[in-house]
Formats: sequence, structure tokens, C-alpha cells
Amino acid sequence: MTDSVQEGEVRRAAPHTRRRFLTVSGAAMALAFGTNLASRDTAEAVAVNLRSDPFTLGVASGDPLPTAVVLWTRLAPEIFDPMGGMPDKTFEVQWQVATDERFRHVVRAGSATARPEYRHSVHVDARGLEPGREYFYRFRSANHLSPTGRTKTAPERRASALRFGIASCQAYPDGYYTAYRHLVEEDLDVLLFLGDYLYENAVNTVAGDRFDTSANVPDVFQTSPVTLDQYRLFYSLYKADPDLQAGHAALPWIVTWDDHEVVDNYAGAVKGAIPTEDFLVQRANAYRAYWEHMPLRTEQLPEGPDAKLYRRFDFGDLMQVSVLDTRQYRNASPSPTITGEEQMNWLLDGLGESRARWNVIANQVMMAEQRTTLTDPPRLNVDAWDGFTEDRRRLFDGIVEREVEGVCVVTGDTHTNYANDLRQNFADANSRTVGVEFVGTSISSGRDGFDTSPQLDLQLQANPNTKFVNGQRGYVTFEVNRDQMRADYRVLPYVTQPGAPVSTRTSFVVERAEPSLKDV
Amino acid sequence: MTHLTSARRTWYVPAVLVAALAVFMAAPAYASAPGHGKPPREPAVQVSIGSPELDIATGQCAGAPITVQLTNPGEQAVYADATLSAPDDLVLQRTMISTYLPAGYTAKVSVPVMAPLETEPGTYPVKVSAGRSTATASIAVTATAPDPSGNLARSASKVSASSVHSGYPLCGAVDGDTDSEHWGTTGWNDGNSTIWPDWFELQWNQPQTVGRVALHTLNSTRYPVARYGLKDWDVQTLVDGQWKTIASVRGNSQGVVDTTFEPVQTNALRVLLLAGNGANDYSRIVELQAFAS
Repeated sequence: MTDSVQEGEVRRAAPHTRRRFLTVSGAAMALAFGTNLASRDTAEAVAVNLRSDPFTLGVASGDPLPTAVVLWTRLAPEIFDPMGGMPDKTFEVQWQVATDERFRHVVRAGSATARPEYRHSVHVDARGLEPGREYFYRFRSANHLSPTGRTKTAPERRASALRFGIASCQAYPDGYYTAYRHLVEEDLDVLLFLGDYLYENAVNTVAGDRFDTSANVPDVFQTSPVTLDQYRLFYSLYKADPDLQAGHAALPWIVTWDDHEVVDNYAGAVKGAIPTEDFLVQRANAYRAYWEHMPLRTEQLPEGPDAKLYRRFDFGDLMQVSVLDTRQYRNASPSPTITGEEQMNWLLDGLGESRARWNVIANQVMMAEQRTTLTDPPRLNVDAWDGFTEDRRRLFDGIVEREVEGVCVVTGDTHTNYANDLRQNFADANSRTVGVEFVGTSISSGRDGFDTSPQLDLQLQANPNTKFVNGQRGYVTFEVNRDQMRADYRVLPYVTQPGAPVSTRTSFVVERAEPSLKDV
Repeated sequence: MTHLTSARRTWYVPAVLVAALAVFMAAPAYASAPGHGKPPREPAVQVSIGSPELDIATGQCAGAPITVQLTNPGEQAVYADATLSAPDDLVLQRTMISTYLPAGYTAKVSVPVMAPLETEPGTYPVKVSAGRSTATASIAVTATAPDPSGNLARSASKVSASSVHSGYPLCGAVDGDTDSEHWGTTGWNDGNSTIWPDWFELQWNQPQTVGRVALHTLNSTRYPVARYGLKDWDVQTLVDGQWKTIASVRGNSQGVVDTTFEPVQTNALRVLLLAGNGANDYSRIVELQAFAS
């Protein structure tokens, strides 16, 4: 395949969307997804000089398969410009994958086209790699070279051990992303990001509680985003953070969203009194900006307000990860659902067919029942699975019926660490345990946090299936082998100042043969 | 081999690999959508402006918004970009609007327009374009008249602060509304509790004579000054590039504090806010006024 052939396909696919400045980018526009071979001739033929470094938003990799991984970057020499400081032209971006950090052994290379319709983001599906192997990658555009990223492919067939992490909830104005400085030292194979990557909340001139008087965050961030240009600018602000860039550059991420990537507590097509027609336009804008800025494949590219983000990953026969989207398909009627019918069927089918030792469900909002009062009846958080008990019953019954083993749910959302046993019926203390749930705290949301509080103590008392609560910032790491999983809750004492240390607040182990939480 | 002069590293692609590469382009999910291969002739996105004639006065806080409407008259959804441009005499909050537009849908986007104090009175165009469709708003700019009470803050060329809390904009503290009961629709609140000092600053293009500053801090029935108001601050003027304190207020318990001092000629004045009276530990100014005497 040559560049000219690819360009030809683009034109056939969308002849009415030729690029004119300020014209319409057609919905059927082909993708910023170049995967052609790099030959020196074509690379030099299209090289255009950029006056300043276009790699201001870093590099990322994600969605690892045994022989492929997505490599991401975006050309944006000016982060606060709606075009990223780029001309309304396509740019060629070369990429390389090597087995060594100095790129002496380049094993794959190619050229991708960065298109203005996607704000010069680049999503390369680098294929033909070896399973379970560490790689290094980088990009080049004109005379600029990107930072080097490290990534890792998933193992294939039999695998004996794996390390992964979970992270979520990174409100930029709530504090620094110091957690990633520590996470990159953990030697993880993959990070599952469980939602609230970006918050729609306004950011003030000094970046909120970061209180950085040199930040000079522009006025445009003082209103919440609604249109695509606004969501893009919020991603530029977030992704310019050096700690977040370090996190992305260190390992592949598998991302999913929760609500704040669009707006707080939306459910499907509903957000308060906003007319559905208008809200779906906002959701389309938010989803598009999300895809542009994440290491995702074209299968996840939104078509307007619809995007298929739920998907599955296999890490050999050791671990399967089912990534959920519990926002897009929420519906209150006819019967309340958090997953939607299709996704629930997909989830149950996948769990039923899984041959993996461990079945991880990458989830957004708490799945375990969580009573927030000691009253009878208790108060529950209806934005979480507690508001969708029929879906929870269907999932748990389905796990039991299919005899699914090694079920481990990982969750974000609450800015709080929890560890829960998942009971088939929470009302019955003798009910069987269908799996465990590790809820990870936030990277920054909620500001400095606290070890415990009267409310968290009360929840421990009200929820016998909850074995641990903690309100500090941080992330959770997991070490998985064929029979046992270990979870370490890594916490930071503060985030409104940079430089916090990290420590392990507590750890649990789970035996595959008997899925319940055990103290280490 | 290509050498990168900017990066001091070498970009090296072994020639043997080029032939061995096997990388494929995933087919776009919608490549098989109806109409593919025989695309209909889509009507272009149309732009219009909701209120094409707008009157504003000069000054950072005297602007008003235009409503840009983007309509997709076609039968296929599109992602549209529109750009906004204006003469340098005007300031636009945004120069681009990008949005998804379902078939037949009109997006309405409010865009604030401001004329700096030095803008000559007159009529100025704001042009909005999407493809070949354009629309123009006509912005009639009048000069902000001097405040009849002599409040120089109302004719400041620039207002700024250490930080701004969303929902409590800068301009709320120089909008002429001194009534604390209107808190929430008037007044400035800094962006960060517990972090001090804060500051709120007025700048003028021409030197002004200032001999009195009136600071209206929050003091309403619901939010009394004893809990919500400012407690300690300095009044400062800029002299040879340095802030010089010309008056200090300590232990304040009043809603309105008049500070008089020997009149000075200055291009900039600020209140350096040192402490509040407690609740949530924020700075809150309902109105800041400056007078010759």
C-alpha cells in the first residue's frame, strides 16, 4: 500500500469533505489512521517544517494485543490554540518501534497521516509484534522528534504472571498528578484507567488548588465545555501535564470513561433538563475529543453520539479483561439498566466462554452494595450499581450459572479506596461470594484526601462485605499469578503540592480457588 | 539514514525492514455506511447570527455576547468548524467553534464580544465563516462615559486578580452593583480558599489621581461580614514598577470601608488581600471603587 493509494481511498470515501479552511469535516471522513510503510522518499516529500516542537502533549500507547499495540500522539505546538497551532493541512508523522531504548533494533516503522479534522492526532495500530514483549516507540514530524515511550504487548497462550494497575479520577484543578511519578516506577505491564480522565469543571487562572501563579490558564477555561473545540482545549490543558505524560509514556493504558468526560452524572441521553437532542450533540462532541486524545483503535471512533468503548482483552490464558461502559447505555425505563441489554449479553457471553484463570471487569462505579447510613432502609448511591440492582442480579446470577472463576471487578469513581467481597445476594450473609471488587481512589480528585473519616468508619460498620476504606489519593497495583492475586493500595498524603511520597496503605490477596479478600 | 539536527539523535530505519513491514489500515467503521461510494451532494453548513446588531460600550466589563448559529441543512450528520474574526478593535472570547451537527440541527453558541477601552466609537464587523457560508454581526461601540460619581474603577482599562472562582467573575466587582444581597450575580470571589494573599487590581492607560478607595466586601443577611467578609488588606499603587502600600486596613468588621490617603498619580492600583473573617477562608469583593478624593 502506498500513500497515494491511501489518499485515493480517502477521497472516494468522502469527496464532499475536501479540506478547505473552515469547511465542514464530514462525518464520513476517513481516519487519521495512517499505517503505510515509511520510505525515506515519501517521508521527505511531505516533510513540512514546524517552527516549534509539536509533541507538547506527549506520547501514549494502549489497547495491547499479543501482536499489536496502539501508538498515539498529537501535533500541537500551541496547546491553547483551537487548531493546536497547526495549519489546516495534513502532516506526515513517522513512527518507529524498537526492542531497545536507543532504537538500534527497530522492528517496525511506518508513516501516519495527521489530519486537521482530528486536530492532527495520530493513532497507529502497530502490528506484527511479538507477544508479551517490551518495546520502545517514538514519532518524528519534520525536524522534530517525540519523547520515547515504552510499551508492552499482551502475552499469548500460557502466561504465568502479570502486573497491572488501576487509576481513575484526575480533576486537574484539584491537584498534581504526582501519583503517576510513582506509578511509572512500579514495573507494570498495563494500566486500566477507569474513568474521569477529564472533568468538565471550569479551571481558574491559577489551575485551582494547584495554585500555580505562573499557570495563566486562559479565560476560555472558565466555562464548562459544550462544543468540540472546547473539549479539545480541555484535553490539551490536561495532557500538557508532565506527570500525566510520564504515566502514558511508561506503559500501555486501557482506558474507559465515566461521566465527567462529558458532564457530571449523565445517564445515557439524559442530563437534567437539557433537551435530549442538544445533549446528544454535546455527548458527540465530548466523545470525539476523547477518541482524538486516547490511544484507541478505529473500532472505538465515535459516530456522532455513539461509540463502542466496551471491549475485551486477553492476556494469554492468565487474565481476561472486560472493559465496561456504564454511562452510554444507561436507561431508566422500561426497566433500569446500567449496561444496556447488548452490553450485558456481551459481558455474560464473554465470561461464560473465558478460559482465563482470572476474569477482570474494568468497571466505573461501585458494583458492591454500599450503605451510606445505618438506617433501615439504608441510603444507597443510585448513580452506582446500587441504582441498578436488576442488572447486578443478572450479572451475579450469570457468573454463578456459568461457573465463572477468578472474578475480579476493578472500579473508580468515588475518590475512595474500598475492598469488597461481592455477594450473590447482599441481603443474605450466607450468600455465596461471586468475586471481589477493588475500588481504587482518585489520582487527584477530591484534593489532598484523608486516611479515614466518621463517614468512612460508618460505612465499614454498615457494610460487612467491605473490608477496607481509605480516603487518600493514589492507585492500586496488582500482581497476578495462576492461583493468586495480590492487590497493593498505594497512597499519597497530599496532591495540592508537588512531590508527595508514596506508601502502601494495605494489601490483600485473593486465592482463585476461593474468591474472597484475605489480609496479607 | 536521516539525521535530525534538532534532536541530537539519529533516526535510523534499516532498509531491510521496510520491505518486511506488515501494517494494515483498519477499515473505518462507517466505510460501509449507506451512501458510501456514491456520496450525495451535501448542502454545506450554514452560519447565521442570532442578534446581528449588538450595542456595547468600551471596557473589559462592558461587552455582550453574540449568538452564532450553525445549521446543517443536509441529510447526513457532519462535524463542522466555524471561525470568527473581527478587527483588532474588538476582542472575541473564541475564534473557533467546532461541533457535531446532526442532519437538520442548528447549534446555537454564545460568544462574548468586548471592545477595549481605547477602541474608537463606531461600528465594527464580526465575521463568522463555515466553508462558503458567512455571516456578519455589526457591533456598535460607544465610549464608556465617565462614572457620574467619579468612580475610576468603572473606567479601568484592565481589571485582574490573583485568581477567579468560577461563577464569581472579575467584572462583578466593578459592575456598579454594591448590594451584597445580590451576591451570586455580582461580586468577585478568589479561586482558592485558605491560600493568601490574594489581590485585585485596576489598571488605567492614562495616569489617574486617586485619593480614596472604597472596598465593599460581602455583608448580606445570609452572609454577614463577620464570617464572610475581608478582614485585613493593604491598598497599593504601582510606583516605578514596584507596589507601594499607601494604606492598610486591619481587623475589619464593616461591609464598606473607605480608605483615604494623600492623592497620588498612578496607572495601577490594587488591594492586597491578607486575611478573611473565617467562612471557607476566601476573598470576596462585592464592589471596589476608586476616587480622586
